[in-house]
Amino acid sequence: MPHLDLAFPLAGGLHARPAAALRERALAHRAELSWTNHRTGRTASLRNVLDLLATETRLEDPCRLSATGPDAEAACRDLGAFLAGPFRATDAVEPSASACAGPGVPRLLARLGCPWWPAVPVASGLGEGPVRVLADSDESPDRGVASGDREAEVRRLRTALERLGATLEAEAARAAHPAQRAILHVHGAMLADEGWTAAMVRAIREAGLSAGAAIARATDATATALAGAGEALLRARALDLRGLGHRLRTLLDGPPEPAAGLEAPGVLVADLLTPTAFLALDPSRLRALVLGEGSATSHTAILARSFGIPCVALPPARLAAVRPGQPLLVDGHRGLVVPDPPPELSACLRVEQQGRETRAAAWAALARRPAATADGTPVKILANVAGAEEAARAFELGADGIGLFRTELRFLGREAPPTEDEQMEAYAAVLRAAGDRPVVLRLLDAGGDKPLPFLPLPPEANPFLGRRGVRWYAGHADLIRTQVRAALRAAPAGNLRLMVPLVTDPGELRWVQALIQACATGLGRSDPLPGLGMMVEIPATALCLEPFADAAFFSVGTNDLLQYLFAEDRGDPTLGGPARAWHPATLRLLGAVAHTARALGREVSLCGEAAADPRLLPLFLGLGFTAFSAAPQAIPALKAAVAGLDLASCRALAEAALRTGTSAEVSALLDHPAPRADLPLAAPDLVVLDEACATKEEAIRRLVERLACTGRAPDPDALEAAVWAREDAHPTGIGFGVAVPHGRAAGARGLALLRLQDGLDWGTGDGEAVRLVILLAGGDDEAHLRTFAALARRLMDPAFRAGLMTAPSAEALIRLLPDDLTR
Amino acid sequence: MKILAITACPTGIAHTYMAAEQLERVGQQLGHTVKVETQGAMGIENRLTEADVAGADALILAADVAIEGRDRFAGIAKVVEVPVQLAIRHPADVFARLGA
Repeated sequence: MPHLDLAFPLAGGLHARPAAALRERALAHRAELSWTNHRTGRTASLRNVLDLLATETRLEDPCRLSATGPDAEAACRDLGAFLAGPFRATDAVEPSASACAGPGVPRLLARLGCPWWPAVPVASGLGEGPVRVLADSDESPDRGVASGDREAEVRRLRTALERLGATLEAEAARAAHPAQRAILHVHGAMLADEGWTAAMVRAIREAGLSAGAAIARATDATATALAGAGEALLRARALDLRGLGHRLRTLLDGPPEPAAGLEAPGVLVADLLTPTAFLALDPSRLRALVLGEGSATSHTAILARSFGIPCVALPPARLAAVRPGQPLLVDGHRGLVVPDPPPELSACLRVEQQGRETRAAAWAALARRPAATADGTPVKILANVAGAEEAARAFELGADGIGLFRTELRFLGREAPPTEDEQMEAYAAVLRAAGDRPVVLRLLDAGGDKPLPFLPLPPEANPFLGRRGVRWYAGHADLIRTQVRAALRAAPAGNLRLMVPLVTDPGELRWVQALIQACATGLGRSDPLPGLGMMVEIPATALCLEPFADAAFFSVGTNDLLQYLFAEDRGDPTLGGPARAWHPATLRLLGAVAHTARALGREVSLCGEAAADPRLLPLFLGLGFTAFSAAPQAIPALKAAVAGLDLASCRALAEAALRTGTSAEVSALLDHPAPRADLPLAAPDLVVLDEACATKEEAIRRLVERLACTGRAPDPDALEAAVWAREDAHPTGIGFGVAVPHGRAAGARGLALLRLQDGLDWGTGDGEAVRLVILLAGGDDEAHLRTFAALARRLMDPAFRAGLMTAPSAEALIRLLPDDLTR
Repeated sequence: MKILAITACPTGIAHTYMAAEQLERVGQQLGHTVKVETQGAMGIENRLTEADVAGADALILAADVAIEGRDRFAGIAKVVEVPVQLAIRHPADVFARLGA
């Protein structure tokens, strides 16, 4: 029987979205496909999402996919290619800006002495309002027997199933959020689950139940089985099933009753809230959502995130103690619920939340713009994709182009290669998705390590050192000629470039160039040919790049380069691992490639896992790379990271790293990012004038946020903690209505100033009201410590202080400061 | 009077220098010769030398942390120790404590 063995590749396990994707792919084949998890010993048909979930498949579980029936071989290979490629994207987590929860709020809670409850953070955001509960919609199910004949009841059931299926499809089509669409698709797949629906039909035919009672019984049985499962994710699916079952019952008798909604804005508290019930609510009235603990991993939680509704989960005893109408504050980021919240606390939490939102918005805006370093060096952030759908997602996330279009996925798992027309369509689709942005199409990268049935190569003792990449092209020219012709025919659809994989000798590049020329002539094409570049994946090529001056561009594939440089299989977790990417040997080799490429006047980009790591970005920029190609979901973080770097600091970092001898030494350099050298220590956007501020905690967080939101504090929480440590030693009020809180944190530098409407008690013990708060954030840089010292001395001048207290605007105030603070 | 002083605070970013400024400014107004050594984030600056100690009448220690090289001043009879905040807020009071 054809089969495929694999270690399960998704970190999140086989949860509902990947299972639904697997089912959809399986449905395209006539073969019967089944999934066995050897760890749990469970087997499921790929047609049944619920059964697939019940295999409780986790990351690295040994699994087998088997096929029987007419196209078993082909189905098995197709699913294999799917599992190796697009399937992995089904687990993608939406990117988010860095987390933030400083020490000020817990201090304030303790100082105000108000009760609060720790909660599981589910969806970020801050919401406040009176507690609302939904009317109990789970009417006691009709346990009755069928009134008429049993087949009529079965028909009623089938009609309801069809209507709900169609409704779900329509709702998915007009869904406002991708997550909502994905979940509605999962619901569609659950509804098509044969086990569940067959149980309903049996309950009617064999037990004589009414359709409504049959739905309730089958749903109960299946949901109870799921709820007893070991995996939290699987237990959470029981909720989806109950929601669907409920909706199905309401559809049995004509148009459904309107679902229970919120009568007025507030915080909805519900132990169990099905995704279906969530979607029936009016989100504009939903200030926040408090669920039972079992719901933290539910689809309801995912929906709350995508609708931007703050959400937490509480233990049952706590939920039961909540009174309807009671004011509740929910911080979905911290995981915090405060009953009857005092206004000072809300104000402080709002400052934190607004800071997070500002930074997240700045992140999103950065993703939409071409990337550039803080000092204006343009950087290209490109995407690695396998098809048009992934390309479209990459552009949504801000890709500047496609740096690596892997074409081999279309070839894997097939009896015969895709036709020229099929390839042409696929390539044109990606080019169309890209518009005028460049698409680098990598010619077929297969061979010993990625065998193809139609590419007969003799068995090799060591496939990774054998006929891979370009090495078999000359021996099987037809295969590659078809691909080149398809690419040339697709070229008018966009901005196409071609790339040769695994080049060792200049002759290989020239051979492909000649083939392209011949194909163009054969097609009667006279327009300029797409630029032909090459992958640099072999250490020898990297060290001796000059003979490859014919290449239009270079792309360094770090995955293979590292494997060959260290003689380590990168799939073996007991060997070197990801740290090889920042080993000084790697950096020296990469530096040599960047240097030679520049001397040859050729563009050079970096692709591979290392290129997707924002932590390594300053190193690679410092070595001379200005183009990076990574998985689509890595793009926003890379773009944000680029904007926070300046080239001079990156070069200094790279030079320091090149002088080390181990990965660990380079790691230590990376852990101490240099502060931004391009920003002045003080600027008008760091000044907050004449605002109300209820507490010292809020004042400090406001100033920390000013620094963080202007790129001067990469870790605002660390800075806030350092400032409080200093306040705890001795409050920093200096008299004269002035306080000078300060602290040091890695990468933080700057001065933020808050002038208050009303005086604030700074805890100095003399009851003096502070009206001017100046927060100094310092790293380890001597020059700016000196600047701060000079400012501190000037603050002793009454005329200078009076100027700060009365300056009419932020700009006027900044002009009063010493020059070296504002340069 | 010829007065020496040392200022030091926990972080050494701001208060050390504010206190130094106040002692120098107000001391001068009161007619004293004042030299202040700062022990801050940039290390010891304006270090007090043996010659300074030899000619000194009094020493002010305005510090919230232990200072370095305390034994240098064994020969000075008149010493007052105050919190940094006092030197910043009420420098004249600090000099008053010296009986100066």
